[in-house]
Amino acid sequence: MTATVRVLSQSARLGIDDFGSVYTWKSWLAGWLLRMLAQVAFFASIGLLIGSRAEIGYLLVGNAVVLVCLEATIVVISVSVERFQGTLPLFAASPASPMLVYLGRGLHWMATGLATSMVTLTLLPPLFGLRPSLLRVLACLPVLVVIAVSSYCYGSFLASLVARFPQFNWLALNVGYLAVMTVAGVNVPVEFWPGPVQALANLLPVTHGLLAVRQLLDGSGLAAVAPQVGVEVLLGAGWLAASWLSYRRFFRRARATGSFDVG
Amino acid sequence: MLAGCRLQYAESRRQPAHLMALATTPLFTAMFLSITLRAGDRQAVVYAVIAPGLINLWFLSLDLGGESVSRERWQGTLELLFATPASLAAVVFGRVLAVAGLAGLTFLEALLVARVGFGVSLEIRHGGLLAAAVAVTLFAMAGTSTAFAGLLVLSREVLVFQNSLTYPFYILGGVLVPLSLLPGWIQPFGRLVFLSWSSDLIRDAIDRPAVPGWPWRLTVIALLGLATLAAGQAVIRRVADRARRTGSVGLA
Repeated sequence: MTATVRVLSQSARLGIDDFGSVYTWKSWLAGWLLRMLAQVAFFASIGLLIGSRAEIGYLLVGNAVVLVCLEATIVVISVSVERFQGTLPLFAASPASPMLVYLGRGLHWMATGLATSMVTLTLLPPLFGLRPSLLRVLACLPVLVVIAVSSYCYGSFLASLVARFPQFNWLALNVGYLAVMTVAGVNVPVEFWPGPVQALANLLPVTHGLLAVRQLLDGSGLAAVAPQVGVEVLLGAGWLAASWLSYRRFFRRARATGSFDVG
Repeated sequence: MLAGCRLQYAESRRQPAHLMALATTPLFTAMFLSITLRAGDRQAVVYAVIAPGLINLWFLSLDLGGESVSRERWQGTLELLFATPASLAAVVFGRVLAVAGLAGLTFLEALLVARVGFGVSLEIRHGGLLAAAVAVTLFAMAGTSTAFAGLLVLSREVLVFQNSLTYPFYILGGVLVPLSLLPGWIQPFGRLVFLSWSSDLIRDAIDRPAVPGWPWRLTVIALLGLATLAAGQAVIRRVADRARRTGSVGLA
């Protein structure tokens, strides 16, 4: 157990150092955070186009919450970088589990996603003439943490696939989170879509957690949203199991065929 | 320029990431259409079908503008490129022209997704004007991309810039929500971006019975494209001259 925590924390530290080599506080605030605020403002402004104040609120909350998922799935890039750097065979040869290393590689994206989402939920509504209670927004934080974890597990599954085909890393990341944005109740309720798409949406992260966030902001208590949060937790566990199995299969096959850097 | 165009075509054919715009267009189209169809707003539905193509235009300008030069640096070919008598700006412009074709394709893809996936067909009222607007927009895109290449040519933080210059410009460019619906203080800034003129003109060419002032609106898009192209070429030349003098091409 101690070894597991040590490997995970060292992998997470590596991810944080990577992040620090790309972003400074200034470039994160002026570049990344501003971009994310603009993304949510862009989607919320569609409410102006269709002339509905209620839609502005719906779009704003959905798109602010999905930022957690967007950032958590960037683990796809963190993992594919290892492939490009040629470190895979070293991980495979080390006594520590390479799956643990990979699962810890993008943990920091959950923290930045939570920060971005909370800042957006707090700052943007007043710009659109909406005033949600700050206490209600704070009450959403535990649910956002659950969404961050389930999205990270989903991202890790995508990362395990990309480990096989690293040239698809940006494609997998973008299609992965845009699919969630499209069908998971972010912009329209899940019921808008035909049955098979609804079934897919119910397996994705965010769908159930976002419903819980909307209910909390509408005045429900934590107990009322517990069932939705519970489903989000279960889905996260499912995606984690899928990514673990996928990584294990990848490493077994790569060891057997010596295809770490070629296949 | 033709060599740049050929090189980009050859690279894009072999790298799936270059075709990302084709993979994300159906999702953007579905997202925008779901919102507008649910609201039952017919005019907004037209806007929703056009927006993904406009988004891709901007995204591809930014992506290529940043990547074309930084990729040369990663491959160690930037020094060689700077040493040749050919203009770096011409190579970049040629590359962008190759990608402009891809951007044009995403407009057709969005129309197809709308028709097959949602049963939405657009009736185009002014086909000739639409073709002219798209053509001049693709030229402006190439100019803007060259300007980005000039701005990012020696930057080590290309990804940071690329990320931060997407959605703010989707708002300023009125790609889905026309500038006229946004707060007044945003509008003058938006009018400096070719995309805002292109968005309005393309939508009007499709949807409005008459399009007032289309000749000068086309001219504005072309002039903004020319201005960014000239600015980009000037910056690239200046940066290239300085890098040649100081020998800092691969180190800057």
